[in-house]
Amino acid sequence: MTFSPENFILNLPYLLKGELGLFCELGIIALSVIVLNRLFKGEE
Amino acid sequence: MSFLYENLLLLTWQQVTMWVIGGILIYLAIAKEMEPSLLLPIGFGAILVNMPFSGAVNQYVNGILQEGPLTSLYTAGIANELFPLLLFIGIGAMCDFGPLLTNPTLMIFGAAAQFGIFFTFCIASMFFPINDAASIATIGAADGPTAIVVAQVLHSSYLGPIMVAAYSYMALVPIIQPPVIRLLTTKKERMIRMDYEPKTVSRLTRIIFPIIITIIAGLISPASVSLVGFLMFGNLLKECGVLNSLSDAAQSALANVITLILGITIASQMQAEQFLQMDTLMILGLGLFAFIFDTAGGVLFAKFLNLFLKKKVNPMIGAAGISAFPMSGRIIHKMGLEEDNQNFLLMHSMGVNVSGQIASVIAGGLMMSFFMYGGF
Repeated sequence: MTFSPENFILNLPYLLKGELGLFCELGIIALSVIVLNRLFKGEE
Repeated sequence: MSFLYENLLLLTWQQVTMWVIGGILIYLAIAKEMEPSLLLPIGFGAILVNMPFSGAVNQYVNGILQEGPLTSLYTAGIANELFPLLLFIGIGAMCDFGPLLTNPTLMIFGAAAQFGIFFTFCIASMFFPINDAASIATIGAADGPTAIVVAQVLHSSYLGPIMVAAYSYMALVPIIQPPVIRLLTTKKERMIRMDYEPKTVSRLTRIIFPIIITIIAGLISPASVSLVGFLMFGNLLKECGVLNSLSDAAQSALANVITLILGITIASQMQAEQFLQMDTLMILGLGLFAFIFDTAGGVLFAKFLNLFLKKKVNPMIGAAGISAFPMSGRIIHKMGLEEDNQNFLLMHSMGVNVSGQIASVIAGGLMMSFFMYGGF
């Protein structure tokens, strides 16, 4: 195990990419569910 | 008569320490009922594999390899990610996405509550190689099967400690989450009531939902498709309505058998010489850090949203966006009732909790995408 503090800064873009990716993916899923709920409203 | 005690003389203090750790896990499983289905087999397995020349794991005796059943099980089911994925079918069949389908906007809390995973990854990368850092950070999802798959796919050399940490923290949700939530919220915020309007979700929506999620996850982060796909396959078995016997088998027989084998097989990675290292302590610490920051991420995101919302949300529900289902959702509901005995947050917290289940799997998939294919 070595201590390389510079890696924290180097890897910060992954924090942004990861959270952005999650919000996009879950946002698309949420939108799909809203559409599904509209389309099949009232069906059993 | 020396054969009676010669093996005893080979016993090391490290192996005895592992017996103590195994004993503690068994104690937590039985006396405290913390994830007993996993901690008990893991605890017993930790004792089983820490005997001099234990026949339970592969050993070289006089230069000849003697195969142990736990190593064989590990090769057959964990080294290729099969057991955790099969377990996901059972988990999917147990999941009721109803609260989420009635209020899909709750999904965003699941995304926010994965903050701890990515933040811990940055911290862990200061101490560990990038593949190990990503695997360690996934502990924060409080999702054992996902942590195993990510660690395995990224070839982490710390699979044993990661698995133990992931399952232990799943069990420690009631101890870890409440103080973090109280620290970040005021009493007034914890008392915010949220209306719940019961809505019906059509059967067709429930059937199409798992298929759509699989397609979206597969297209955006293909590395996550096996994780998401197995989870959603289990859910489709449940929701289709024509495979009730298979759904029941997935929920009970399959999930129980895999859990049983998984727990004791995990222990094969708890041999003293691999487990008792400074790195293990560091991994346990980073896992806890990830878990705390996941909880904090969810709560703080809800507080941030409240700056713009007319109808405020109770920030505590943000903390339920982790994978520990249904424990986390129930804890938030209980905390709401402690503050105001007429504050029923259950449906909201459960909705966020199932979205956390999906989000943690996708977060694991994103980690794999980043470091399997060199970024997306």
